[in-house]
Amino acid sequence: MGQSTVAASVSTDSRHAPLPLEFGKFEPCIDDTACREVERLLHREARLLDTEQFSEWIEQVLDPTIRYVVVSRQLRYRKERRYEAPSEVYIFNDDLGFLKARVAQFESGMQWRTDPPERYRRLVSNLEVFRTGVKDELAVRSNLLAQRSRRAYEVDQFVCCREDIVRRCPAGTMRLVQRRIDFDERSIAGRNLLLFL
Amino acid sequence: MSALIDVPRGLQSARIYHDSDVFETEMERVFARCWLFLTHENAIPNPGDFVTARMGMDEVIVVRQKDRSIKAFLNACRHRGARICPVEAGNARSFVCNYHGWSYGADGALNSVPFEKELYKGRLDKSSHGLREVAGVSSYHGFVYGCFDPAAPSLTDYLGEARWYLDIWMEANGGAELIGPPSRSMVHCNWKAPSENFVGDAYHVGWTHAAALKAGGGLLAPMSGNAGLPPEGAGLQVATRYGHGLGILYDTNPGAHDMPLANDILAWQAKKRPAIEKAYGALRARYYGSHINGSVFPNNTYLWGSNLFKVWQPHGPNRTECFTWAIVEQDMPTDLKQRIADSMHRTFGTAGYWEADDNDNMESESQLSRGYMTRQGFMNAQMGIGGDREDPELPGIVGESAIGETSYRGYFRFYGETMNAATWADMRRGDSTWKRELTEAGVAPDAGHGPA
Ligand code: FES
Ligand SMILES: [Fe+2]
Repeated sequence: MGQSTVAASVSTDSRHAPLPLEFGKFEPCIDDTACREVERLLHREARLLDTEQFSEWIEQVLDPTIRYVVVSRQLRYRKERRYEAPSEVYIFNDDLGFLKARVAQFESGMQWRTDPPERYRRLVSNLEVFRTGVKDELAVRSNLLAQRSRRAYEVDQFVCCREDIVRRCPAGTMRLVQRRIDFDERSIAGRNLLLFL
Repeated sequence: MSALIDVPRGLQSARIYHDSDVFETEMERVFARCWLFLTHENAIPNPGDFVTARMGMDEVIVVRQKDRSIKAFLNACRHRGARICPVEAGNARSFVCNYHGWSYGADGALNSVPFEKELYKGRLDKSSHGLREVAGVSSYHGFVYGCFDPAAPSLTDYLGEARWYLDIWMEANGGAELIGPPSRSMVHCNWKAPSENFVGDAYHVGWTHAAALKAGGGLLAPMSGNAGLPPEGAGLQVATRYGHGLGILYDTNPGAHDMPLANDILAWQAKKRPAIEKAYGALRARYYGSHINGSVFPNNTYLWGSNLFKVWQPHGPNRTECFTWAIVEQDMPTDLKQRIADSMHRTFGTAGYWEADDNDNMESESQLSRGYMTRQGFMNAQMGIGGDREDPELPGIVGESAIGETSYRGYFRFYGETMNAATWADMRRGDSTWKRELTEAGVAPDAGHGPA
């Protein structure tokens, strides 16, 4: 569970979490082949996660240097200037080792909560792809609607925007290097965020 | 409300998770007169700094004053009752209501009213329309609590013998603080379900958290799947006056944290321990290196070792909002504080892989009580009953076991007491009898059927 290395284009804070991507400063990617490749990656990811193929998700989608971050933001006035305490709490701040531990928990056969199986459906949309200026690296913005259906009555929905960095790995395929989500809903109505967004 | 809690037999009616008259009575008799956690002082260091918080179903603003004292006010305008402050934290010179623009100072005073002269023609008494102030605001080692009832004992007396245990991590180590902001989530359970779990449930750890223990490693991993019981003499259960309680699992301090972080925490604590041992004695120095689960009555829970600090805020009989902060030692390096905070949220935050398993149990025990027949029954907290005793060295009532329900019984004994008392003066009568009631409790042969 060491600290991941990051690309030059990506800046991180003191806890190795990526800062928000400034999409306005990136050049849109007009290479349709590259855009379709990214789209296929995100659709494959949604399928693997929806069908509980978490080990395959780690092997096929994640780069070993992955940094996976979800923040929740404290409600503040727009004009607040004088109050200096941090406004973000890290709901996730995981490297590959921690993500693997979460998967191992799920696959342990001892997680009573997920038996009978929960059902997941992830809808990925509003895909935009940008060049970061680093070779073989793209910045990707997409919206996600994830629905978890659990037991007879529990249906929880989670909506968020993903800010991703993907990079071509040595084997030639695109991999997710970094994901940052600034979660919209402040107090999570759907009980928990214990799912991969 | 007199049939809810059976102290001699260690039973609680399932109605306490469901009935709306119980919930309404709790708002009056528990939340409007017990001390409730508001914030840590470090979140509001400067005059004008504020946070908003909940006290039961009431919303309050907690503000640092010019003289550095802390006051709390109902977050409701004195005109037509609209919310004064819609954010969670900030620094303000005044609070202006969105509805008609009445403006209040950081001291709660109503300072200005739009067109006051023209429309009220001198007939509005501004001096009696300041924000309604919370009667008591007090802090203990930087942890700020508020109380609506002026007749309540002081915070120091309210915490009472629990302080001897709290001081281990709030004082002996040089002081603790909370890393904010908190994470927030709505759990579909009754507020007491998590509060009772944290006050004294070491029993569930090996089973509920079997998967987390197996996958996450850490010092508690051998308990996974109930593979092993902690050996005899591995811990302690404690109940103190006014419902507070805790459990100690010796020498397992970094609890749920991953091993690389746990090792760094152990190294940090090893350096501090000799000084703590010198000033506080060997016993409490050992507790400093132990894992402590506890609740401050009614709804404030902590895990020293896994470093979480929570409040369980009621929104309804089956709706409870969970606020979670990380506890760190004040003099830790920033990097270690942040790693602890991230690890705590990874295990016990909104996406915590320990937390969700807990919440699922809390939701089902609460929701099933909607069943008419189900809630005729009683819940059982009898583990260790008959063995609770006073100890010359240890404040409160203790049960000599790493796993037991001593503090459940203390928590619900006081819950029953406050639910049935008209005033604090009535409750104070229990000051002299509560220990005996707990130590003399024992299981009668017909127990399990509830009060006749
Ligand atoms: S309700 Fe606040 S100013 Fe009227
Ligand atoms: Fe638990």
